[in-house]
Amino acid sequence: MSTGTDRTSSAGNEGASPKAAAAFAAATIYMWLECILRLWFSKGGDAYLRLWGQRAGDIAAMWLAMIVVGLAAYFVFAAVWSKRAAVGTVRAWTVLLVVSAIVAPLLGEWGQAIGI
Amino acid sequence: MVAYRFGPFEIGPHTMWLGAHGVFMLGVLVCVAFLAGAVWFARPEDRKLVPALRVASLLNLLAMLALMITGLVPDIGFEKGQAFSGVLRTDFGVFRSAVTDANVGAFTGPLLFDLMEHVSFVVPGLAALLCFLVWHYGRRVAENGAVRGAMLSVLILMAGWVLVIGNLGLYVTKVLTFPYTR
Repeated sequence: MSTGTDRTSSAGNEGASPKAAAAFAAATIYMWLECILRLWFSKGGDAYLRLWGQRAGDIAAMWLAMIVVGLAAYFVFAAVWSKRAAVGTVRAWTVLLVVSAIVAPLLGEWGQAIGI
Repeated sequence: MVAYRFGPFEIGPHTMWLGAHGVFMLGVLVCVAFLAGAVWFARPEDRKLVPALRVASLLNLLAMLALMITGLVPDIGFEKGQAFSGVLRTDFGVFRSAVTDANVGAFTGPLLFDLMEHVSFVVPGLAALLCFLVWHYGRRVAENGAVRGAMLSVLILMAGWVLVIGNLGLYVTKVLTFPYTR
């Protein structure tokens, strides 16, 4: 992993530390989980599998599930990658996260009526 | 929770929740503006800036969580069709407001209203990652171009989503609930 202090020369090939890579991976999973749960709940998924049935409860339960899975993913990836010096590059993880955080929530709304 | 009167204004629980929601939104915007400016202009010799960045990123995450919760809690009453109703009598006439799940849905539809509710989960996830990166990389935020670029990308993305979702929220809470005369 680069430890240089130059602001530009290390940009692009800076290796992501295992913990940073685990955080990026967890955040990316968090984004896609929003998409999956949203599609599941809006496309007639089994309501009994929801944590609780009220409308706002669905929303809170969905967020809670995303947080718990995201945190679990962080600790799993951090443990798996703990022996490695670097996991991918910071730039590659950033691109993956940015694309996921834009595409996943929009895909999650697929098929919703605009209603205006 | 009871409603309180201040002169011609009556402040009920929904108004209080919305007020708190707006204050936390302001807090988020202040923290994000500081973080964006500080990260953008940070130089390797600016190591004393790191504690401020850490505090700002943590405050930003906490304000974001409070913003989410104050946005979720008033939503509980929507399913009962009693989300917002009131009468304001002034010298200029009688103004009524009545917003229920049905008529909010009729205006915004599942796409916009549900998008505001569900896509908003993306933003605290980004705020948490931003906070983690600041605390994890410390002074390298000011030193390393790749880390700085990652932080700015997350900040811009977070600001973009906040802008979209915040405007949908403003439309629902400020435009649709604007009193009308009868």
